[in-house]
Amino acid sequence: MTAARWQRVGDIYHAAMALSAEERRAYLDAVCGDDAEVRREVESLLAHAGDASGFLETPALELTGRALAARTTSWIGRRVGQYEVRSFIGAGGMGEVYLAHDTRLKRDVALKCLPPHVASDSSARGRLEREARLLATLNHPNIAAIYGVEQADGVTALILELVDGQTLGDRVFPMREAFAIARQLADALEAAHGKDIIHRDLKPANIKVTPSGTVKVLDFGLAKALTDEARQSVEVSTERTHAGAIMGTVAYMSPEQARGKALDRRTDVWAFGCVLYELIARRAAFAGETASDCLVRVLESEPDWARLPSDTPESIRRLLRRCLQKDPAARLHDIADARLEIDEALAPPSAASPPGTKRARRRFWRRVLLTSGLAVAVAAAGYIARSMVASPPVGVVTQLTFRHGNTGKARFTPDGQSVIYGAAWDREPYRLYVTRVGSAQSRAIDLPPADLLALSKQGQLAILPSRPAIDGWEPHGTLAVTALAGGAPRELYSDVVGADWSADGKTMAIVRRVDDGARLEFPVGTVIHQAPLILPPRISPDGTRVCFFVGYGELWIGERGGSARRLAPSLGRGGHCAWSPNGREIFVESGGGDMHMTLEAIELSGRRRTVASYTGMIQIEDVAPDGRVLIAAGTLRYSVYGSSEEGEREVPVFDATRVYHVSGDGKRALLWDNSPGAGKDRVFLGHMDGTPPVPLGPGAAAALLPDGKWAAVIGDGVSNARIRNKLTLFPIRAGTARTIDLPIELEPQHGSALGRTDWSRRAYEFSADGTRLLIPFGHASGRPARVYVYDLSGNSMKAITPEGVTGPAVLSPDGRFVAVNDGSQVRVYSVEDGKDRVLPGVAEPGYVAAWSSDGKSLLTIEQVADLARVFRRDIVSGARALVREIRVHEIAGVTLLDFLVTRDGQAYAYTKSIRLANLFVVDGLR
Amino acid sequence: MAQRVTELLLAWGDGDLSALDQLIPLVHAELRQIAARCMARERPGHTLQPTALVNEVYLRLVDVERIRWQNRAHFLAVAARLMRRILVDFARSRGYQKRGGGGQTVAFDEALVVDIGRGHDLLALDDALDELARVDERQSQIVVMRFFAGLTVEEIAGVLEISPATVMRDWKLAKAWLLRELDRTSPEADG
Repeated sequence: MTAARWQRVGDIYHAAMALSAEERRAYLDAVCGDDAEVRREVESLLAHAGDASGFLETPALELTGRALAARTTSWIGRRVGQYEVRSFIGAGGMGEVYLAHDTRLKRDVALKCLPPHVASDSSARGRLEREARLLATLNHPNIAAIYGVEQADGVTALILELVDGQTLGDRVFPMREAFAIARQLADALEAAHGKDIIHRDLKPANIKVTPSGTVKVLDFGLAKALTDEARQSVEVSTERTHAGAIMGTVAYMSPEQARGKALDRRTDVWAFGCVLYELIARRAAFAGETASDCLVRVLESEPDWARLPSDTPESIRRLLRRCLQKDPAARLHDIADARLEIDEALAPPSAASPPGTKRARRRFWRRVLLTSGLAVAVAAAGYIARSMVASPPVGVVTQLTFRHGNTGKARFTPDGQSVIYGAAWDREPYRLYVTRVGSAQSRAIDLPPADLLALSKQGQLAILPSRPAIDGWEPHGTLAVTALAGGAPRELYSDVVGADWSADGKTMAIVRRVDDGARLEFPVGTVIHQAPLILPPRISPDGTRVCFFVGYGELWIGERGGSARRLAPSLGRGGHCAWSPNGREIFVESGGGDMHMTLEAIELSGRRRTVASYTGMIQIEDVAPDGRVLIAAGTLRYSVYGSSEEGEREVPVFDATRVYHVSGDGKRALLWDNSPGAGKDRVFLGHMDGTPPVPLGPGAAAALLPDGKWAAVIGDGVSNARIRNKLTLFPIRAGTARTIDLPIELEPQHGSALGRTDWSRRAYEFSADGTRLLIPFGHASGRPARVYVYDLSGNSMKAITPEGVTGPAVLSPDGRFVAVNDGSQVRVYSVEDGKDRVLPGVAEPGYVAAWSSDGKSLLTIEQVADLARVFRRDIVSGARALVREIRVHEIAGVTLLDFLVTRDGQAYAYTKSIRLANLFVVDGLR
Repeated sequence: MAQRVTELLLAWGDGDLSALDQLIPLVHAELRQIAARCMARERPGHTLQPTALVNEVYLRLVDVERIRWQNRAHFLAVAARLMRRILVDFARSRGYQKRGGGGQTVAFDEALVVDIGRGHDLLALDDALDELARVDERQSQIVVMRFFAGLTVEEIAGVLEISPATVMRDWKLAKAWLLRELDRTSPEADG
């Protein structure tokens, strides 16, 4: 049949399908005429149309999965020789593993299916049998025994010792336990090597720990026996079955293995090193997004030694380095040496202290810190000790999620046994997941990408669909409601920032974003508070009150349908709250300035008490009726990126770098780093071309002088105390620092999140001749802040804007004018006579970013999703034109701050804050 | 940067190993997840859509920030073909070849019979799709994209540069054709 005729068949078919049976016949008579072939074709297709409607509507992936399930369950009950297959245990790398009963020896065993290329090839089977006989002579308490290869009734399978317990990948261990495990592992390897048996495929997935703490190494030596000689590959194990973490064998391959060279016992030593590293660092030594990424790291990169906890003994660090030598000749040769090192590290034994003593508490906190990965950025062990001072009786920490990314909102399910949460892992958008407390696995809920807003006791989910993984200060959108059990989400309210249900599920409190800020409605439709920034609210257990943050640091409570009042000010970085089960206290997190956060409980009277202390970043998410607390804990890191000739590159100093000013030619930047590694609160001169940054001194960064020779810093340039009424000029090369006393106090720049123009952008700037300095946020003692211009030559300070106006501001190159964002207008002030005028043109949300060198136009920046759009606006007419667009990376947990451009709009720099977090349940906090 | 990415995408054809290398482990893992849930008597419905797997690979292989929509469409088309290969191979590889000489009993590892409905099997569909491609290449592509990669009608429309309505019509006709073909060639139908 020709294409044209087939086309005709198609057309007729579709037309006929729209008709009733009788009409159809008449239609076919009319349109097919004499063409019997076409008619036959159409009729036979129509005959199948009915059955076809439901055909192929379920994806092949699911059907195949189901078939796999059916086939797997069909094994159950079958007999393989003397073994009766009883139940399915799990999917191993090479095939399914079943629990079987040895009817002769009356014991339970593990029965492992073989990969097809072995099952069907008699010579491969023969090899396997010989290998199995050899392996059976390995009789060691830490090696899972192989009982034999069974071949009966046309079936071939491996019969192995049945081992109870979890694999190393399934849980985390405290350091001492990790050493105890490693020691048993070394023992096992030593015994096998003594018999010339090499494992070849050692990895956390085939090392189990029984409930009594005994280590059992599985699949010893099978790698060789089961290698498909033709394909030279061992099928990748997929035990960790969430997408994104499937590395299997590759991550533990030694360099010589990766290169396909001959293997010997030193391959096992390498793998042992990887496993030990992973046990104590809680992350793989050589991880990568793809198998090839992984292999490259194995071959070329060193593991991140900084990730080992600070209290890792030096001997263990040495041991790891020796095990993970890429050159086998330089590597530790004998696993017995490893065993000896570990024995030393395990001694002297420290007797377990009864709980409640100081040392036990300190160990607990270390466990909390380590399990949550919070201790990473801390330089010295002393820092940990200091933060453990206030330690009330504590409880048990369970980690819920283990991935790389950022968690959004999380809630206990009504029965308190599981947790629902939103998360953006790796490069995925926010989705909802559910996990049982105590299980290491989460499963995605069958909904389109969304973040969680609230969960009611009746199992109703309020979600925010399509929340992008790039964090703004306030994600917002249309609130949709759906049931936990399933169903399409139903849209309810628009422009929602946060929401919560009352306990009876009948009322909601929502925060809505409006033009000049946000409004809290409780119940919906009744506004009880309005402020520039209101964070997501929580309704009290009795449904009469709601708690919420105004800005990041002020806790307020409001009455249903009534008014609101401030309960606690100055809570630092905090912004999350949850009611205690009895409704008498509100849990919040506070602090955060120096990487030290506290979990506090605040009574309705305003009285506060500390519940627990942490190093790093925490957020309280929820409290279960039985008092367990759900927190998100993680790390917050700031990095600076800037444009350069080779494209965008990172301009890092330490972990908490922010950019404050970019030089006119875009080649240098004034950076500030507040991490302990920098010495805290220090200013650096950064270079966009990758040259290492130059430390200048303590203080808060202000601006670089246009001549490139000086950097202005707020402070006295000497002490670490935050002095705000002095300005110090540091020389970039030769010269002496000079400090100037000022009649007002200055605030350093805090960049705005891209696009939020109601956050003051307080960038300092010099005029082209370096005599005038724009001070975007200064205040006389006790007075509201405003914009000032300081004249260095005449030592005079001039107020520019009215009190209270500090909005984004820029200085003209000649130092005579200041342009300020004032609400939705741009206002241009004259420095000399104080007169101002409004820039004509349509008001846009963009913020002023720079004044062109010729003084004739302004650069403004607008954010649209992940795009920074830089516009030029004529200073006279106000007309605007697009200069360029800069796209930022969409990765989970990223917030854009401090976006700066040069006067010509060609060079730029920005700070990226990267927040990575995981979820934890803490039991026993009071 | 955009140039390189485009070249990468265009360099893929059927059987490009690097793309397979990424996708296979994910698909196998997801299959095992689905199977595990079925055996635990949970609804298999709460699974990742195949497009999520495809997206996962897409994000890894491609520089996210510079992608233009057409290239993603091309990627989807290729990825759908790969999904088909992976699933069909999976079903087949559970099997083995009967080695000459009669009387050999069927081994435990027989071919995975994937019931796709109306009494037909995935492997038979694979053959029937090849036949359909001879008659109407586009309809065969639509079936691959929808059934194997789970792409939406809109996504398929974008890849093939036709209207969603045309996609739906082709889809319906293709299914009727395939069902007829499968009924015709199934073992019981030997007449």
